[in-house]
Amino acid sequence: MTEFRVPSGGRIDRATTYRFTFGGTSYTGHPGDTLASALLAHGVHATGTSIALGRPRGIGAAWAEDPGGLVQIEEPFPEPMLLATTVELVDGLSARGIPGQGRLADVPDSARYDAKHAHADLLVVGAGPAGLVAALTAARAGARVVLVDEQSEPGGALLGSADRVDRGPALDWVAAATAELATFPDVLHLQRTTAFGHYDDGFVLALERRTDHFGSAAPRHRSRQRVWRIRAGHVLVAAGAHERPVVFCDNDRPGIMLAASARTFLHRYGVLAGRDAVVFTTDDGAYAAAVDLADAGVRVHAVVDAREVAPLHWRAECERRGIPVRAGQVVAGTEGTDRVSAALVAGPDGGEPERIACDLLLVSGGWNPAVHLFSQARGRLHHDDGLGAFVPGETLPGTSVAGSAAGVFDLDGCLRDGARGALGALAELGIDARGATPPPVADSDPERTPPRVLWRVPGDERTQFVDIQRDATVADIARAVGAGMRGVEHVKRYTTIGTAHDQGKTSGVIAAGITAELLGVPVGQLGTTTFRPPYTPVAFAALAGRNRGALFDPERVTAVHDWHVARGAVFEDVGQWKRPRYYPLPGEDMDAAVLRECAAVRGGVGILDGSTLGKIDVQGPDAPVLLDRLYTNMMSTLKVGMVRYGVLCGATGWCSTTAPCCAPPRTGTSLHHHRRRREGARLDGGVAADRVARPAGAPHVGHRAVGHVPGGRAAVPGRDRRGLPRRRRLEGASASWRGGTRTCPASRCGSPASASRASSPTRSTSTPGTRRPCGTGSSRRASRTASPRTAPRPCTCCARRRPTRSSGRTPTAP
Amino acid sequence: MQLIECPWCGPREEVEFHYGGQAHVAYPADPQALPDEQWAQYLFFRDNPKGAFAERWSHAAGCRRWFNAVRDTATYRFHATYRPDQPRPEIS
Repeated sequence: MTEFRVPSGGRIDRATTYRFTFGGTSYTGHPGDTLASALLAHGVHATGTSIALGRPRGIGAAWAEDPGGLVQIEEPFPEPMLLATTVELVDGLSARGIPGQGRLADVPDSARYDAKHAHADLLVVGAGPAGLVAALTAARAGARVVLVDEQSEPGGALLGSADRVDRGPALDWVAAATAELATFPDVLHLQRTTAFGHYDDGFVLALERRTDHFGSAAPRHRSRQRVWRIRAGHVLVAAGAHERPVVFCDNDRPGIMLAASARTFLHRYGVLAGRDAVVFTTDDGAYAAAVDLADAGVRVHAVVDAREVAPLHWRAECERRGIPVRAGQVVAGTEGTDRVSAALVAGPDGGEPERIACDLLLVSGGWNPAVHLFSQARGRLHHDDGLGAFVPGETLPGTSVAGSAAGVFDLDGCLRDGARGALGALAELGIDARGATPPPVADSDPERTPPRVLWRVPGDERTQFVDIQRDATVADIARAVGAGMRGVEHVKRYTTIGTAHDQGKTSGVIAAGITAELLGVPVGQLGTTTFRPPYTPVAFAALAGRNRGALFDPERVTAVHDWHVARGAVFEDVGQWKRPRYYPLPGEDMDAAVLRECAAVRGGVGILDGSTLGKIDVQGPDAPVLLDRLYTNMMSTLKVGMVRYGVLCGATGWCSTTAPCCAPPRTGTSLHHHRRRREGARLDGGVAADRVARPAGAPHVGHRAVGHVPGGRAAVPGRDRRGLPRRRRLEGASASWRGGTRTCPASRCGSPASASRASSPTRSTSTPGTRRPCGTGSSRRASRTASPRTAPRPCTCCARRRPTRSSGRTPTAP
Repeated sequence: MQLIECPWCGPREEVEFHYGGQAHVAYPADPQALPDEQWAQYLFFRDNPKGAFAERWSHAAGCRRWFNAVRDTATYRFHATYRPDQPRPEIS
């Protein structure tokens, strides 16, 4: 049994022991622990040092709002800047504290990441009391529900409390609700899944962590993380609330912790965060922590309540346990080196503070509803002066907020608010929810005494830390205001407060409050900074998913790619296409190879694999009219089997592209590739809709291979007026052989039929009726014996021949 | 990511669509007869309102058909989408 672990209780499996190392020292923990709870069980609070001042930093909260406990994971896979509070403990874990920043892995990440889509009527974010009731209510009404929660098990705040629901332990109700949700086929319930971004029209991105909690036993086929792309008719945010601290001098020492987090460490992990505690609060909530910790054996030396009058109920509870309550006093500072050793408690009038020795200082300055996802959807916030918190200030279509995220801070209210939120969403979706069972009831909380909004205790501003990760103090805010900053966004950028790993989960609202104090305006008028995605850090690897390496951008190769490779082509990237650039012989550089190729084409003939260029097939009765509208020259007079080059213009007269237009049995134009998409869209309807009576269809035919045959001896087969074959010499012109879009009919190939034979047109006058798919039948033999006029020809991709390099001819024309 | 209602395909994600400028700009019946100024008006001048605006959109990564939409340029909200041969709906 480790020193600070209580003998029983908690959500951990004491029968199994995990071994892990932190900073080179070996420790033990249990399944169900986080790295933070396992360290606290050994009395380790300090994890690292701060980035600018090198001051000791430690675990300050129990989940993602912790600004202090950053660690570097070394094993099983190196990862920087993770919170000890959110790393689930696995056997063999190796980690260390960091000086404010981590180190990226220098080995390749072999894990897989993927993405998945989900569609739902209702997305519920958060499986705490409000979220569970909402999901159950909607599921019972027959709605398709997605429920996501970022922790390892459902329950939310109930996991860290001793609350009761329906006259039984709250976690029994959580287990029953979870089991019932699992019976609905249209409910998707994901744990370890953080909804980190909320976008337009009910689109939410969530990150699921799928393998890390297995440690070395993780299944290899399973992706490590998955981005869920959820599209929901309604998004119900039940994300809970973050406790916020109060700023005082030297408030950054390890051993200073949010009060409810210490309660969570006790109830969920069976860990005492210290032995001698002082509690500093402005609200009722921290009394529960003080009482629970005292019951578990912690010596609570004082509850320092900044309010003039301490709440009656809690005062009595404290008296029963012998805990002194100091109403109207504040913690003005702390002592200690790498761990807090004493709290300095001062009266309302200042004066000499009293020193109370402690190894744990719990702080509670009230609660900030986790309105991030509501704010990301452009929901406006308003400051509730009674609660001392920013809460959703308007109703948005398709988005609602329930539970403590909406400023409801008692359990019974959260349960009722979850049901209310779900019924409202179902009504908006048009799903009948009459006959819904009422939500469970919880023991009502003792009457709440209004909290006092206290952002900071007066003192030396230079040691009053607002953003503990950025080492930004009250003095920094004062300097920003002194420099003329009047808005929270400006102060944020001037001081860097809220720009660290935690994105200001604890510091953002405090910074706004202190700025408002310095400016002499109400904090509600000043507002908060904009909440922006992601809610918690997301690895680029997860966002990239499978789109890495060769899959990042598709590589397109032409039908005769293998032919080019076999002849030693050097490729260049043309968009997604691999286009052969030149064909060096051994010892040749690019200039020599290009010169040799040019000479060969001038004196003979060459083939350009034009497949990488865009092709647009224009069909329909008015296709010639459409082409006449696009080209400056007349295309409707083009005879079948002929090709004509032309310039395409818009109404403004600007040349949009130049492209040959061919009239094979079907009309088609070939357009240069980078304009294909735009010109295709123009052909689709831009011109046709207005000016062509019978619109023409114009699908892209990017899969079709094209060969252009330039060269001094290139010839176009055709027929003269008497219908006899003839040869026509082309002088320096580029032509597509026989219309350029002749396709090898084999669908798997799609290369130009007989393009390799274009230099001997008398032997390649195959007609569409006689073409035969390559690889079907013995076409090679048939071509030797049958009449040249009718012989089917293999396409170039199948006619693998060694280039006759010694002959000095271009390797593109074997 | 916004959803845009294609009149043929139904709601699809905005990345599938391509913008095509102001809708209902008719080609002049007799361009030759237009003075330069009016021809330039046809070619280059488009409305730029704050609020409801009729635009052409193409479902480029879907059915590849063109359609018209009335969209609020201040909020990005699509009020209506309709086929090219349909008149612009009245948006209150």
